[in-house]
Amino acid sequence: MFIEIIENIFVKILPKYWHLFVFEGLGYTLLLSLITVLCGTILGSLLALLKMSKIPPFRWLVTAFVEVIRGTPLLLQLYIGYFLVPQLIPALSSNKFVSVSIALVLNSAAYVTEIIRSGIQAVDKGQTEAARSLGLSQAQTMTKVVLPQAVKNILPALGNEFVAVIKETSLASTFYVGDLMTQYLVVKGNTFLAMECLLVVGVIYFVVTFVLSRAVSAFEKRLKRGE
Amino acid sequence: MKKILALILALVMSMAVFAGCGGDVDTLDANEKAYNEAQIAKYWAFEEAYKNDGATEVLKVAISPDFAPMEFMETDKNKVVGFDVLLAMYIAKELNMKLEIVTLDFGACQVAVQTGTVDCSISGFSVTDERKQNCNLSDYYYAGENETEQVIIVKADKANKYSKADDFAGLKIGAQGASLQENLCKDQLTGAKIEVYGDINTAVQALLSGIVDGVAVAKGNAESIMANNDKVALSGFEFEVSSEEENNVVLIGKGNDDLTNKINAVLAKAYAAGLYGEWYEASKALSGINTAAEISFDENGNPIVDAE
Repeated sequence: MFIEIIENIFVKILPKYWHLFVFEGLGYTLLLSLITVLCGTILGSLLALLKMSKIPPFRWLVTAFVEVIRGTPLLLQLYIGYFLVPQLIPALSSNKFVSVSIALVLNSAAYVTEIIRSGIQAVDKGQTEAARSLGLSQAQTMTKVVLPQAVKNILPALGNEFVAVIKETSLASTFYVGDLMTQYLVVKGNTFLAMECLLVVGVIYFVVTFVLSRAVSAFEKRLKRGE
Repeated sequence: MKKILALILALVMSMAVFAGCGGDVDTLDANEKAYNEAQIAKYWAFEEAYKNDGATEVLKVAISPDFAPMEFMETDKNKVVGFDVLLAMYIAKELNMKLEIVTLDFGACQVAVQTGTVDCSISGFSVTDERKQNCNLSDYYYAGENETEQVIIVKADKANKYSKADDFAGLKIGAQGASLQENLCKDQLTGAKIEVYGDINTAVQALLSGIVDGVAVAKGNAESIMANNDKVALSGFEFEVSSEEENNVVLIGKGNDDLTNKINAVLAKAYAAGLYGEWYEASKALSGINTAAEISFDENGNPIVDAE
């Protein structure tokens, strides 16, 4: 059984379809993840600012958004995004990559909001108090004292978010956006060899996420060196 | 780090070795090969002929490309192909619209029609009560005997054990969710336990892994599966299929009677022109089935056509 699966992978799957997995599939997966994390970080930073603002309605709205996104499955959000976005913005109706990306970005933004908020709030309160008593304004305290320290907490967490998003984009294959899991569906549909394709895709996911998470922890160590 | 690099290098090298001896053993003779290649060429000719990209109005059609030979992905050109694709292109051309194919999974195709995300879906749909209630259905189109016969595939070594519905009592049978086959299993295999899967291929994998004992599929689909996998075979059992369930329909948005009527007119035209059979043979060849298996050739290599 296992020997046959391995043989199938090397004889029937890889010679004919490897470029689909490595170029198309991995390419789309990384592209989708990059868009998601970049846009998610920008949007998440804005939301985090709103969440820590002094105006209560802003705080409530952001909290509600974050709770709803974190409390519902991503697949459900993708379906809603896919079917709702084109109805709200008809111009996007022909591009499912965009509507799926929007759903992913909103999802990621909710998690990034929490990453940034907790990163900033994790900086010891004494730092703010000390800066304020030395005569720094509130804005100066934030940009010169709190944020530089918060970045050390935030960046590695964002890296991990990227690794998580790479895996989460696999759900977008329901809409055949072209990512790794889509290529699994495509090749499986051609060869009827499901287990073989799953193993190939699994190895690619693992190699990418493993390398990335190693890089993130090396980066984290480098940041810690100054302490 | 060096160890990991070495490992990766070893993997890549072994891949290269295997790649050299890749490909299936060619068991077809020259005549059969030529016939299949001619069918494949015919498919691309149809596709070229039905292109209508100049039109301004767009017809959006949802297709779930996991159902060879009716619809699947051709991986060299990275295109959705198959009988239903030719039908969609033909419809678009006749209506002078530009075709836009939206690939979704089977369940999402039906939702996309209901929500109006697409105009219609052509993906090997049979008639069921749920579909009647939620969508407009076109007239029937008929892909050939192999798409109307519904069978159960089992592991090859057990194929001769099953010949009637009772033989499946107490066994697990896989079927695609929200499909004709699922309904047939529920109605006719009363003793069996039905396991529902998102798509046929996963059900086939479950069969190979021993999770289910059989999978209910259309016969044409079964042929594609068996062409790629000698571990499965047809059981002796065949579902009884009512005339209404025999044929495929196009799912169209509820209440869109205008498009329904237009599509019905095109279907009638395609039927009258005898296109269905040709599309089906060409699609089958493209999906890797040996379409020449039941054809004999004369000494010049020309297929002998039965005068039926």
